[in-house]
Amino acid sequence: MSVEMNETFTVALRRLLVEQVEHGSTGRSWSRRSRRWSITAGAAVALLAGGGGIAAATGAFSSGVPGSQAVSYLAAPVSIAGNGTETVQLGKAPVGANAIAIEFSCLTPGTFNFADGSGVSCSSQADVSNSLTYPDTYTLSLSPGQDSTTITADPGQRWRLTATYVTATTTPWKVNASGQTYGSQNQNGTPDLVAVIATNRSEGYVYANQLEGPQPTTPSQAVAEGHQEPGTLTVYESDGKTPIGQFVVGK
Amino acid sequence: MELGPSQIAGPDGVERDADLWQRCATGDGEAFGLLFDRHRERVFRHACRLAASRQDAEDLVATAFLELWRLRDRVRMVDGSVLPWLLATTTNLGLNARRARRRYQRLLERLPRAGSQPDAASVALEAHGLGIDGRLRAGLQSLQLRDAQLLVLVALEGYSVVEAAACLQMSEPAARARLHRARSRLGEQLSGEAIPQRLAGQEDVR
Repeated sequence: MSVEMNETFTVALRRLLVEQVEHGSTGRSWSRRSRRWSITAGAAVALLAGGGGIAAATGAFSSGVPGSQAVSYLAAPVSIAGNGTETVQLGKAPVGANAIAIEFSCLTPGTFNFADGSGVSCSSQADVSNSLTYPDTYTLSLSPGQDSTTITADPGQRWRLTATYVTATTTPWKVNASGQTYGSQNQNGTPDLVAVIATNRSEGYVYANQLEGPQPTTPSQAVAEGHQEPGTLTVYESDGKTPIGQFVVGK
Repeated sequence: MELGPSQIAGPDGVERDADLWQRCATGDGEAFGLLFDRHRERVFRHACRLAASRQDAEDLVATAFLELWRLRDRVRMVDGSVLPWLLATTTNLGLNARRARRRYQRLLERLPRAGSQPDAASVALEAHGLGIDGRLRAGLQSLQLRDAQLLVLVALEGYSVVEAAACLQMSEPAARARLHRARSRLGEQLSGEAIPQRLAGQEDVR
C-alpha cells in the first residue's frame, strides 16, 4: 500500500512554493522611506539563548494564546537579505492588509534597529546561529499606503528579513480562577502571567513580577541583559499553580 | 493526482536538481515546483517515520521545502541533488518539531486539505518494519541531532557514508565515528526490543 500526501494540500503547497520563489527573487527593490514599527520587540535572541523564549508580542507563540495576534496571511512571503541600513520595498499592499508579519535573522553579529527604536542584537556567532535557527518574529502595523520598511545597521552587518502582508487583530487576555490575567505581552502591556516557551518546549506561563526587570526595549538593553547571570523561573499552566517546566532568563 | 513530467526522477534528459536550483535563483518558481514534484514523495515517506499523523507529516514536508528556500544560501547539494539536504532537514524538523515548525504554522493553516485517506504514520511505519509508532522517533531523539541525521541518511535512506558526510558537512572519519556511536546508543535505547537491522547493524563500508 502506498502512502501519499493529501492531493488538495499538495497542489496548494506547490502553488505556495512557486509563488514564494517568484516573489522572493523578483520582489527586491530598495528605496528611501522611513516607517514605524508597531510593537516593542526586545531581546528575543538573548532570551532564546537561555533555552526558552518569551512569547511577548513576537507572534512566536501558538496563535491560541490570549493576547497574541491573530493573523491572516494575504500574500506570499517576501524574503530579503540586507547589509547595513536598507529600506525594503514590499510591493503593493493587498486590500485588507493592516500589518506585516516579519521574521528577522542576524547573518552576522551586530545591532539591528527598527524605526521605533526596538531591535535585535546578536553579540556572537552563537547568537547568529541561534537567530538563523529561530528567527525573531514580529507583527508590524501598516500605515495606509505603506509598502516598505527600514532596517538600520552598520555597514557590513548583514541580516535577513521575511515579510508577509497580513490582517492582524490582537485577542484579549484571559483571566484564570484566581483572577489573574494571562497571555502574551503585547502593546497593551503585560498580564499577570506571561506566556513563555519553557526549556522543555512546553508552552506555559511565568509570573510577570518574577521576571528580572522589564523587558528590554532597545538593542543596547538587550545586549546588557544578555550578559546577566541566568535566572530560572518556574513555568506554570494558565492556572498559575501547576508547574510544567522551567524558563531561563538571560544567558 | 496528475503528475508533472519531472515526477519521474533519474532518466536521461531530466533536468538535474543543480540545474533547477540555478533556475530558482533567478526567480523561476516553476523550477522550484519541479524540485517539489521530484522529491516530495520521498520526503513525505521519511516524514511519516517522525510524525504522529498524516497532517503532521504533510506539515513536515511543507516546512522542509519552505526551509529549502529560506535557507537557500546554505543548502548543500550531494552529487547534484538536494534530496539529502531535504531529508536531513526533515529529520531536524521532526525531532525539534514545535518551535521549528511554528515559524510556518499560520502559513500551513491556510493550505486546504480535503478528503480522507488512511493515516500515513502507521502505514509508513509498518511499511518500513519499524513497528510501534513513536519508537524510532524516541530513539532518534535520544541522539545528538547530527548523529540522528546521519543515521537516517545512511541507515534508512540508503546513502553512503561519504554522501551523508558531504551533506552534513563533516569529514568521512567523523561521520563513521558518529554513525558507530549513534547505532550503539540507539541499541541501548531500544534494548530488549527488536531493532531493525539497518539501524543497529555494522557501519556501512561504502
